[in-house]
Amino acid sequence: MSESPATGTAIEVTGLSSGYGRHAALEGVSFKAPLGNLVGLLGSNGSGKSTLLKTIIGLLPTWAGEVRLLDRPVDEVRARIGYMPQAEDVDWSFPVTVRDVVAMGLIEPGFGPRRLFRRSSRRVDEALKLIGISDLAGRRVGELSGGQQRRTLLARTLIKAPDVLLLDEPTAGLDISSEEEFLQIIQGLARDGRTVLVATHDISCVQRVYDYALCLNRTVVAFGPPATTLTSDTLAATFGRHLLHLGGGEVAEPHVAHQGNQ
Amino acid sequence: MVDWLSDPWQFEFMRRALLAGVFVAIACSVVGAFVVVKGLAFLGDAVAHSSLAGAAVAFVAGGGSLMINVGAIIAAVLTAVGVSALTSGGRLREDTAIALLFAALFAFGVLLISRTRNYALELNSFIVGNILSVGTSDLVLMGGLTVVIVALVVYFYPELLYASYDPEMAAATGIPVGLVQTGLLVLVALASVIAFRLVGVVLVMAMLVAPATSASLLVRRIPGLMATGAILGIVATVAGLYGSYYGGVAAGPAIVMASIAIFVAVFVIAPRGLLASFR
Repeated sequence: MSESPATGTAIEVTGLSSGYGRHAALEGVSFKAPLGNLVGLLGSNGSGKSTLLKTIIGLLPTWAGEVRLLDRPVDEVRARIGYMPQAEDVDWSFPVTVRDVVAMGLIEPGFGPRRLFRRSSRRVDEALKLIGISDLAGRRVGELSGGQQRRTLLARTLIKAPDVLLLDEPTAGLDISSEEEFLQIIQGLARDGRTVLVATHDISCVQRVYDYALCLNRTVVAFGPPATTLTSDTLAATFGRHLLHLGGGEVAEPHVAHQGNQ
Repeated sequence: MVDWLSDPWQFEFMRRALLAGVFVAIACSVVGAFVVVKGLAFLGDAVAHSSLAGAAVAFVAGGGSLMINVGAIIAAVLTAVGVSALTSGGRLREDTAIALLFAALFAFGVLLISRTRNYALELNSFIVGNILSVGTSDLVLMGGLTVVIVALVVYFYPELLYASYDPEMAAATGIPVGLVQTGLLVLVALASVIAFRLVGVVLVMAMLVAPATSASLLVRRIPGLMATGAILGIVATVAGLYGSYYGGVAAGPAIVMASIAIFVAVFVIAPRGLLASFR
């Protein structure tokens, strides 16, 4: 990846623990992602990938440790952070159009002389165009394909031009060509100096195009450039299962990779 | 024919009932849009029933029409807030919390009214509504509450939409999702208080759900759903009042039946309705 003009730390996580109820899903997670990079968050189902993203953005409480984004506490930079949930977590039967969903990304909390839901603003049009879904603007979200649903969510995430993006399995369940298109969009974002943290199962893709790999199994197994980080020992410790070995010692996706995705 | 159409409206109580019906249709469809898309029908029903407890307290204490409405509002809002409180942190399932509050407050209301002399008559007017009891002060209150509901929904539409559609993302943006959801329940409470004078506590849910559901089969966005629901609600009110006048039946149930008839018709002929699935 080319050198980004921006310098500094985009995501800094120190000794982070978190979970649901009394069940700890993450313990002692630490890593530091520099600005303008594409970071692949790898781990099997239940390894705490979603929990980590949700704790970083503040949707889950921090039990211990600290999260800093753009060298500040999360609450101070919330407007500069974009988060995209798993498509399975979204209610697709809701009576809203693609344009409505993308425009939701502009909604800001608080009172003041703001207001009215500006669904026809220029920024909505730009976000739709950037992601290539302008022709779907008037479609009800329930009528979209899986790839179109994810593009809609990504357009909403991007509308405020965030500096840091946290994407939860944005390509799960997509066919190969949609996945490739999605990847190109994400790569373009990183080239523009944005930092993109992507939870994914796709080891080979992280090896190919990402700047960093973050291997998670309730805690950080390894963090660094994919070429040196994704060793077979690391992957075994990350996925905790038998891995499929290809010729030349390359490691491909484990058997467990796509469990539970529609 | 013209006489047949104009005849009912020479009576003051019919004109009042019509105006009340317009308020009910607007308030219920604006709130009902969220009730339908969020699946809050049972909650709306519980809020309406439990308003009886507050109305009964005011009634037994000798309060007038205004106090009865105020009592109903307080009980309904307390139920809405109570459901939020009981379910927060996963202590109780939502439908369990709703059922318990529903039963407790409704029983308490009936209990209080059973102490009065005209027990059956009074209870009846609360349960199925009584258009003859809609006085000028009631109309003023209903109109005022309708304006308040519409203003709140318009002003907080971005938050209501975002928190209903995708609570997690809304929270990530910094919107106080819990507060917005409780606020929505309070709006449901206010709308059901507007409706119970006309159709009674038992049938309030029909006014919250039927027009909005019919509308949801016809339009693709929430604002359209609210407007279409209000129009269908007004049509049902007019049809129900004619039915009541000429058929000599209670107005509340007649309005509700008209509303349900509209739903059945829409369900059959809508672009995404029953007939379409056979094509």
